[in-house]
Amino acid sequence: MNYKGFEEKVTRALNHGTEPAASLKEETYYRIKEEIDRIDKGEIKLSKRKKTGAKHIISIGTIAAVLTVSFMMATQPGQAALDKIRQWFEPEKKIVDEIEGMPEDINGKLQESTMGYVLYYDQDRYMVVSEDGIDRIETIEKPENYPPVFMEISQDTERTPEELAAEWEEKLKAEFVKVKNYGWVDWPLDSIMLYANTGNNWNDTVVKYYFVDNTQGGTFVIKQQLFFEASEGHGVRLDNALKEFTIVSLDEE
Amino acid sequence: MDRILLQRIREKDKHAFEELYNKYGAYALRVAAAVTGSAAIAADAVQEAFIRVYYNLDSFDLDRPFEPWFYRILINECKRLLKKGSKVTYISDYMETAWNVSEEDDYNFVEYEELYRAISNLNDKIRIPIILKYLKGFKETEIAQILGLNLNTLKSRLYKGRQKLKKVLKDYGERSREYEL
Repeated sequence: MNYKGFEEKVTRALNHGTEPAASLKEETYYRIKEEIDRIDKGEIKLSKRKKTGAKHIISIGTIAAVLTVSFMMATQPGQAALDKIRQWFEPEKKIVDEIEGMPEDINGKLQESTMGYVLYYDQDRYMVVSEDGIDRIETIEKPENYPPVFMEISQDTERTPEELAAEWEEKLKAEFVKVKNYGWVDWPLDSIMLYANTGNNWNDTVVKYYFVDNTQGGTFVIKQQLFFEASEGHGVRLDNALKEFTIVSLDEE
Repeated sequence: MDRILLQRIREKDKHAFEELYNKYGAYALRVAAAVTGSAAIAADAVQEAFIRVYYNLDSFDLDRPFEPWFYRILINECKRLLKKGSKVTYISDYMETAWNVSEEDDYNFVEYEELYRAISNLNDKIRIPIILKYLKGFKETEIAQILGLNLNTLKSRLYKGRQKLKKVLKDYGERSREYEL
């Protein structure tokens, strides 16, 4: 079979397989038109519209979870919502992680963010500082002569993971010796991952970025800053914290 | 001309919007169905994508081609809905997957069905580029732009996808010949 013949077959197979969807064209337009009419009449707000799809607790494998918490007021995520979250997540829990090949008991503490996510971090080693819309999980111990280690979580409500990853990849190329875009990864969480370092000396800076779809058209941007020698220790501990990163979508009732 | 059409939509001309939908809606539904594996989720994704286009056209540069921008939105919607509804199975999809074989001979029908199943089983990284290239007919540079990929990465994924599908077709051909003997 020649190349053109192969390509034609693939195209025909795709056209046949998607025939049922194409038949929904008119029905779908009717739904779009109806939705736009309702938005234009002010019956529903564009930004507060219930997104289509399932509206319940959804576990995406063991990678990340999306939890939709309904609350009565159409406000920004606030105290009422956080109170609701506390009913669902234990404030502290014991976690067994594998660090450098050995099992280790971690005293996990719940980090509940008004940005709309929760995670557990190792409270014996790290603390959380929140300011200017950024949650920073940093080491409690800060030995002299060692570069800082931290993980920052922020949110861009407008842009997609792909858009942000492309932008950050270019920025990192200007500052770092090695920059690698891993594309979509599923560990420690479903995200686009960028890695960069300034070299291979023990104290060279290493950064990792995870761009996570916030399920509302935006992105959680997670930055880990490490130094080369700490990549295995702190790097793994911070990645382990991200394994239980849970998006809490705060939709109005 | 998309530019004139899009300019009219910016001015909230709903006839222009309907015209745009008539031009792009059917293929958007097909692509979304191939990406999500569900006609029902595809309809939701297309609905959301077109609503976003209607209200966010101001942020789009009319000098750029519309389709790569639109399909970027659509693919993101597909991924979002897949994440949200990963545990949901739509009974309607089973009911709707009735293939129209009236104008096809049985051999082609079974072969296309086998090939479509093989495409559906490819992982997302390979499957979505294959769909955009062979179902929608995008150029490789456009697909790289839509998916935010390096062109060489994209070419490599397309190559891997083609190799896998060629093997499926080869195996199918051999099985068919054995059956005839």
